[in-house]
Amino acid sequence: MTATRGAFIIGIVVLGAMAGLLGGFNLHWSREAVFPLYGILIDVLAIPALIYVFLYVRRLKVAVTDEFAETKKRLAAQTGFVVGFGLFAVSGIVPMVFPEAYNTFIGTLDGAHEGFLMGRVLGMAPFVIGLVIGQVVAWTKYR
Amino acid sequence: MNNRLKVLRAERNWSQADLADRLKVSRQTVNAIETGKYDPSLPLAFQLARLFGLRIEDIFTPE
Repeated sequence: MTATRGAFIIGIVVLGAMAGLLGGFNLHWSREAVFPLYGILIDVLAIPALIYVFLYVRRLKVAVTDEFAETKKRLAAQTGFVVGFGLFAVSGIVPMVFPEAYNTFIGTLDGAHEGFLMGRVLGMAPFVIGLVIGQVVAWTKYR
Repeated sequence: MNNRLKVLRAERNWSQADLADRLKVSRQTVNAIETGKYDPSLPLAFQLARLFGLRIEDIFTPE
């Protein structure tokens, strides 16, 4: 291990903060009547810095990852996908098993757009839960 | 897979972290191998054998 896990975590936090701030400011500037010149200057300076930090964090990640970490990650990913797909399949059965509850729920939605947004969230949720379960399984197996 | 890693390490007065540094892996990896939760790859097993001056089968034995 040529780098510590702490350095990698700090790197991730710095990268997230930089990307978040840059994204937030750009969103703010893009809503102004004219995109400010200082915004363009900051972008020109900050984007290469962001790319550099990203590449540096990627190097740190490689340095702190050994074969055991890879094994844990693979187990978490495989478990997460299987559990996610299972939950996704089960969620498809809900309207058949509980038609009244399903119809009531659909009735509470305010139009097709909200239905679309709800569909996106509910379609993704099983895989997000699967991801968390995968991490927990890997953690309990190898702790 | 059983292993004598803990004994070999103790004979040299090395902590798990010392051994991990010598192998360039994490301390968690050494701990997982010692407790039998994880079997190392062949390259890592060879590295261990070389480090202790033993053969792989002197360190690892099948259950």
